[in-house]
Amino acid sequence: MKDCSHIGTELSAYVDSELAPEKRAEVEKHIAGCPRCQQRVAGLRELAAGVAALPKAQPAPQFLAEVRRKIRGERDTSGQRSWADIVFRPFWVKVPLEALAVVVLLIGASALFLPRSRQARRLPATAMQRESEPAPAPPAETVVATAAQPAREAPAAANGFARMRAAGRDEIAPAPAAPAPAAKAAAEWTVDQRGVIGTNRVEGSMRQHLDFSQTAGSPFVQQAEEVIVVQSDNPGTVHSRVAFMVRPLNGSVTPTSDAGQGVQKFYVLLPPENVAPFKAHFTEAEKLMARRQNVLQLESKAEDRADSMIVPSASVGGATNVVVPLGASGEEPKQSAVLEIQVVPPKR
Amino acid sequence: MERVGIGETATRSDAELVAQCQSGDDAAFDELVLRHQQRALNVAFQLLRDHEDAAEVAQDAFVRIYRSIGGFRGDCEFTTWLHQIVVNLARNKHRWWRRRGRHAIVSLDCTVETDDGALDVQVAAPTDAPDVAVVKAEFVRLLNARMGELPPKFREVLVLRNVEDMNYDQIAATLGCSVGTVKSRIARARETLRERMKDEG
Repeated sequence: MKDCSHIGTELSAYVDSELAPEKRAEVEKHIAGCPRCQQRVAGLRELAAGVAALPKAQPAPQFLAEVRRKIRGERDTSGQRSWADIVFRPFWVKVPLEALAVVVLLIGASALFLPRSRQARRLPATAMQRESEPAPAPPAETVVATAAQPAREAPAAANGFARMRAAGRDEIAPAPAAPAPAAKAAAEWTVDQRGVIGTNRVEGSMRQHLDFSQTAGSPFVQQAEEVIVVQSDNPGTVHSRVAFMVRPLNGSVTPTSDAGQGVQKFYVLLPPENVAPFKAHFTEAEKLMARRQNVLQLESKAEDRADSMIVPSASVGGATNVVVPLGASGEEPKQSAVLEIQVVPPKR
Repeated sequence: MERVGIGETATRSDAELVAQCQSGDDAAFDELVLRHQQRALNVAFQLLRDHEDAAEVAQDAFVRIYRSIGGFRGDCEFTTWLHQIVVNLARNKHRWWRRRGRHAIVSLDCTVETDDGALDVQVAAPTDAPDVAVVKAEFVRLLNARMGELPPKFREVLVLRNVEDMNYDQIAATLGCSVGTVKSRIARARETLRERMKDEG
């Protein structure tokens, strides 16, 4: 009996013929004299034979076809797998899927909300590009006003030699005519811009967000009815001055952006009927400034183009020449008019 | 020039078929499936005790083989590889059910008819051959029930040993454990099974 406990674990391997020869001989020697172990071996053999005789599963005839179908990646069409089976997947599959969904949502949300300032400016701009109507090219009748001092709300540019010139829009590619209302977009733009301008965040901090007019595909390039070129050392001053002027006219300005080669530009959005008042107001303001400095000079250059800027003849005391084409308004009612204002460094 | 016919494909070894699979011969893969489907399905069934689960596991095992046969370098027998995959998939299935609170299904019927195929009891004929234990149908029916209650690890070694008739080395290779572990695990599995059978009868 004492040998039985020692040899007990070996009997199973003995039945399986997995014992080394010497161990096998040892076990056989023991079994020969141990009826209890003979009985255990018989029991183990019966058990092994019983397991071997267990009911067997036979593959269905379509087994191979099912394997092929799965290899092709097709869904189980037997109806066992319902949508609920897919929705209520195993936990360890479902959780990563949901986590992935959350990540995707977060990325989408951040794309929508993070560059908000940029989006806010870009949206109405593209809306304008799509929806507003180009004005017929007016004959450019220009008035040149010279001012020694910029507008009063921008004394910082007092020494700047600013020059403004406007060219007819016939150099601008016509935008597709569309009667769709752009008033709403313009209104949103106005609100936004007023808020920004009202807090005097005109330059610097805003410019870094703005680059949409930098490229050739600028939303206003094809839209601007006129291009007004202003020579000034201080684009921010020009911008704030224009912004101040267009506010009573229900207009708005975009922030300045770098047009390259030191040129800053921005756009003026105005109700079409207010384009002429704006230009008159602008000219008057420049004239007023010029008169105060006693350096009034008028030029008339109807053939002016944006690429041939007027060099001020009276550049003493830092004059500003303004060339504004008139007659661009009043022909047809439009949703909004767009003027492009370029601020270039003064030529010395 | 004689073409390779069906009669000849049957003589091709698993290794030859694997090599042909690796060169893109899908017919060789079909041959492997047809040759081993019974084996794969039955092992899966013995481990899972559920015919639908077994069929799914066996099919998935061949799908997995098809997709990774390019990397099979013949370090072991094809059947060992197949058994490894079936056992692993069956283990996953076990866990899958356990998470849902379902335990192994125990069927006391020796013959089960399903849509996918029939299960039949193969009871050893009562011959007088020495060393061959004669098992009665009643014993097998009882054993079948008790097998379903065994821990999966015990079931694995017993099925591989006595259903698949693998030796300890092959079982160790399949399960990725040592021969000593296989030996002791089989001994404990049989001991457990024997005790539960005694309780019953």
